[in-house]
Amino acid sequence: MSEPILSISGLDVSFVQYARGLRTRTVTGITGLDLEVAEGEILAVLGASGSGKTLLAQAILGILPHNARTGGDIVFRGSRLSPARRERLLGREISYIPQSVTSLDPLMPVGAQVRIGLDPAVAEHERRRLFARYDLPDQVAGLHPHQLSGGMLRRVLFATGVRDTVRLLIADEPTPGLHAEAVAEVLGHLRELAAEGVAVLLITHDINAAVSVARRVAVMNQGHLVTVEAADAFTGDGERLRHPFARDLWRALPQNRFSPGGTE
Amino acid sequence: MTLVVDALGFGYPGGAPLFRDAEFRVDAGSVVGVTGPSGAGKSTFGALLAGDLRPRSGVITVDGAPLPLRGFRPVQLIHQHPEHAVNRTWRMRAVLRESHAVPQETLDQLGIEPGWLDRRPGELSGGELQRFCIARALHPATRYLVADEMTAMFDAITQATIWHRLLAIVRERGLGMVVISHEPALLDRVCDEQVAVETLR
Repeated sequence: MSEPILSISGLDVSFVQYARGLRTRTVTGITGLDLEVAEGEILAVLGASGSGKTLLAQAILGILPHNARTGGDIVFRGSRLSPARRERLLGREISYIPQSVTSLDPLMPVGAQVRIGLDPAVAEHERRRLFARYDLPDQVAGLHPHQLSGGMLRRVLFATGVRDTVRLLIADEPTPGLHAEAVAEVLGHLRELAAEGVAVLLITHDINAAVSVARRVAVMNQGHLVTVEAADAFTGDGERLRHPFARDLWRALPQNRFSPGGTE
Repeated sequence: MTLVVDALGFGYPGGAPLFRDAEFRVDAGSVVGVTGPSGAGKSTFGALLAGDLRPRSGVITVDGAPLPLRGFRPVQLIHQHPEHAVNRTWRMRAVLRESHAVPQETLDQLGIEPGWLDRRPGELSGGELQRFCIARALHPATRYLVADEMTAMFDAITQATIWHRLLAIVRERGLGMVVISHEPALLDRVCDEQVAVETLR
């Protein structure tokens, strides 16, 4: 395997909450997580809501809520991702495509949002190139988010997140609520970026999407990374999957057993 | 006992008509799927059935009576994003009470744990919150349910769990149900019949 772009070891995330008055309690988000993503690889992180997969993204990006405590190491391209280094790299080498199209600014034309962070001298030229790449008509640049369809907004999100300098892309749930063709389009964009050498961390609960685009699938449950499975083991009745929770997830799909867990 | 849509017409102001003379029916005790690509009008149709939108023309009748314009709605809509359907500042106990005194039996059937009642929406996972939205929709006077991408945001195990539990209640109470989804495998699993939204135009 080629050099890891991202390597995480022993990551812990917990939250301090005020229970009553000044008494606090600690809620665990992620415990002891180890993970590597290589250059040009798409690694899918699969898990239930509440399993900690979005926290993982937030921990890498340094955007956890202020009451979060973290432990462990996050290494990006050979050196530790300190807050100062992260500050320099976010939006340049590390990029994020958020879950919801509501992350776009509703009051700013989408073209201007794509130009954010680009060198002003070439921003408009780059914006045109990104629009062409994601099949967005040029006249859309002057429109506001509410004037665009859901599928177009997804493409705008890609255009805001993708820069030539990006080495790691974190995509959080880019597919739910989209019909089959739109999902295929999103996954196609991820494949294209990986082919250019970008390490892609795809966070999703959509097993079909994960399996069709990634070679390795990391499965999270209740804050633990329970197993990393080969994508092609998600087939048949899941008998080639190593971990019982991965088998339960696979079998719960409506096209499989539609079982509410506990098939082991 | 049927939910009947007769000659329904609807379009958004300034837009082309979305439905013209649409005919649709769901018998009590049956589950009907509505399919179609995003933007084809599935959610609009669901909102019309539930009375959240008023048709421009045509009638919707519930077990023979016109869909009431005020008071309790016998057709209840369950949304894709439960976090947008509840008041974020209330505890879940109050969220339920807003609808009715939900019997303990219903909470048990849906797998709602007693400890969740004192939490606020932000302290529950999406799957946990959706169970409250379902419990709330299961008012004693509810005759039909419309599930609009009810489990699209959830993992497979949560999805299967919610559907098994809800379908058991729907069967027990003899409710009719409309399921809006873009996932063919799910519709094949849970529906007695399926209708493409394009045929309702």
